[in-house]
Amino acid sequence: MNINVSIKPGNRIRAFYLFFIIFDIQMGVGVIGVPRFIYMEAGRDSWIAILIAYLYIALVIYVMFVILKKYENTDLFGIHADIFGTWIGKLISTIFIIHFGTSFLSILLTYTEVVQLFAYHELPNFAIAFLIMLLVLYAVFGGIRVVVGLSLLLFISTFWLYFILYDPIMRMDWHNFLPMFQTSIPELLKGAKETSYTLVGFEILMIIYPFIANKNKAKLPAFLGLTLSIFTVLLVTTISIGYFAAEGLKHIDWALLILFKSASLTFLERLDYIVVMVWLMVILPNLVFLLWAISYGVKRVYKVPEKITIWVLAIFYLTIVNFFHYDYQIGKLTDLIARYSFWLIYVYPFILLIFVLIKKRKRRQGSEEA
Amino acid sequence: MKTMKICLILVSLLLLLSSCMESFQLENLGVILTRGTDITDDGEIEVTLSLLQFVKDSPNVNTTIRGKGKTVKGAVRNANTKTNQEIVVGKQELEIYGRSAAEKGIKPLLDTLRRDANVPNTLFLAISESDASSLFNVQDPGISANLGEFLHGLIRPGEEKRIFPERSLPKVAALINTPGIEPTLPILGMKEGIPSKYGIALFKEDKMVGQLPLKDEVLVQVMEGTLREHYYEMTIPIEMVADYLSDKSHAKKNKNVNMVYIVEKGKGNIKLKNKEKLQFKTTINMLLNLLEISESLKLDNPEAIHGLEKEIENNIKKRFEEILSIIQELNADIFGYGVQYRIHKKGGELTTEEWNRLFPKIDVEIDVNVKIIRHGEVHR
Repeated sequence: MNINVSIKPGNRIRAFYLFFIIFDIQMGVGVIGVPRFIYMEAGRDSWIAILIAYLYIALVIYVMFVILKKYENTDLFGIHADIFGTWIGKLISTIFIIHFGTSFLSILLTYTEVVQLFAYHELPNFAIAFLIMLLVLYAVFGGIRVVVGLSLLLFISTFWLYFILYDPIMRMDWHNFLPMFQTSIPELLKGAKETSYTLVGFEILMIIYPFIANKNKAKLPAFLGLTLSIFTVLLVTTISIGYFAAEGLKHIDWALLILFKSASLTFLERLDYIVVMVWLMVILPNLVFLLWAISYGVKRVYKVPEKITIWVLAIFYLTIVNFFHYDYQIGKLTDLIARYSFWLIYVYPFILLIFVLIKKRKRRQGSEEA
Repeated sequence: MKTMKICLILVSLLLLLSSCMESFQLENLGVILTRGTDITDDGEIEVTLSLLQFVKDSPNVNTTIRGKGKTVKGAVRNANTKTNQEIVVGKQELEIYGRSAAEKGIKPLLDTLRRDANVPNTLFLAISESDASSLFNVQDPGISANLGEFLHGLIRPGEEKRIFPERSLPKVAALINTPGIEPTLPILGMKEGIPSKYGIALFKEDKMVGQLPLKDEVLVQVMEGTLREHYYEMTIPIEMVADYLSDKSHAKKNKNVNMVYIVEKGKGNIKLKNKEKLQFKTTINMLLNLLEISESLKLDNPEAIHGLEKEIENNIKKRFEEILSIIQELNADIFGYGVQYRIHKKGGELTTEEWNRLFPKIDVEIDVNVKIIRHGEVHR
């Protein structure tokens, strides 16, 4: 396996697109339900917990850049092969591929659940998953540039969703935030940890990095994308705390969609039906990026052609969605991902950094001695 | 050619898949606009539905049907057996609870509204002065033809006013769950055969415990937030303003002065003065615009205006004290003194039990500031 990858000029993307990539992959189904989880841990001071998560993730992204800069032009899989050797490297790379795979499944299932809850309760899982898969496959077969273009396009076409939140903002009760600064630091940190399911996804940076043409300009768009994601989570959580009662929010599963329900226009009374459908555009980049990352990763690690991986996975997902019937099964899957992705995405890059630094130093010493 | 074939297969699949969804045709739907919910003596739930129907050549767009059941949805299903249309909740605008149901507690009845994603969040809640079903017995053909809209219009005369008596479902559900503040809901009742606004229902958590007359809505609203452009009628004894009368002989003839103002801007505010002694200070500021007065006063004299302002302040203060003693006796903190208490408490947590114990003991100092900034085209 080659550690460094060479990308054809036609397949490269501008660093500027990283903004849309990072933002789109972080925003998905997680943000719909996240206020409840943060609130249960951090209470009225949830906004501080989110800011802590912001600082922490910014640090993680910085570490990812440091690691990537040590190499000429590589991705996570190449680094694994370089640091841990063929077998252990393959194993860790496979863990990441499985992480992308489970994330894909949980997004697909959660969105299916939302559609069934809010719009078509009699529509079977398979039908919804099939329709979504058609779009996903179409985009992924187009290659990296189509995938990135799609994320840009869907970002622009879903941006108006922010404006619907004007209505719940006006109905907020600001007393719900007082008194401030009463939450203890461990609770705040736990609250910050609860963002993990929603905010993971930025690890795509380590996969897509070799495709970036002007790498020296990659940092700013990545951080700005993260900033917008954090702003969105902060906005949704803050409104939820103000809009729902303290006791109420602990039992509300789909906070964001209920906030959207609050708004109503004279010519369009039930805006929430449209929002549920438009949400497909929000999760589509997630699914597309994940499937692309899986197929690319499998090709890098096992040399299996992308087409085969994509078809096999499509059939696999369309089969497995039929076995999920209960809400709690999906909840458990989400919970599982939240728990392990904290270690895999929030903590692992630091461990990798240590290995990379040791290895590079040894190599330099080795070359000096020689 | 190959891509064409695939496209063709996919398009035909899409056509077939669309039949997986249930279709809704407007002519086959009975759209609930307003629902009245009562609990009968034998514990069953009875619903009265005002439905919007799209039937060709029918003079009435509204029909009213009733149903009974153990649950709210069950009662609606029961009502559905009496009509040839499918009843849907997606456009429900108002839910009215009968008085006895409200006194038993509305939480079990609210459950379906919170749980069902099809129920809009813009739904308003109200209480009926007697049984909710009685509000639907309207003989006036002009009103009964569109009863559901009429009842909703009572609660919300115009778009986007955000004022009492409008109480939306999420707001009420949130207030029921918040310790230290209790919800209020509008009461509707029949006056001369026509449904009308009747008063303000006071709640203790989810149970109705008392009521205030409709004229107190100004004070309830002012304490809730900023109040703008609202009529306010009041009566003061004439001897209080006798010095400023244009014709002093009126002071002997009439006993009272009646007047109507527009509250240009009103704002209420609660402060905790002393946490241990449970002392609160309530400030009410109002800017008024005189619209009508039954006696001619020398309003070109600033002293007359200030004298009048003072009387109005005393009047408001007295009424507010009366309301306070009523709600303290009922232990229903509708103004949210408990929220201020919680904010200043260490840890910021307050339980309902704790506030139940403390609220009857609180001591409130009331400070009312009224300014009559305009008195219309004439000054006498």
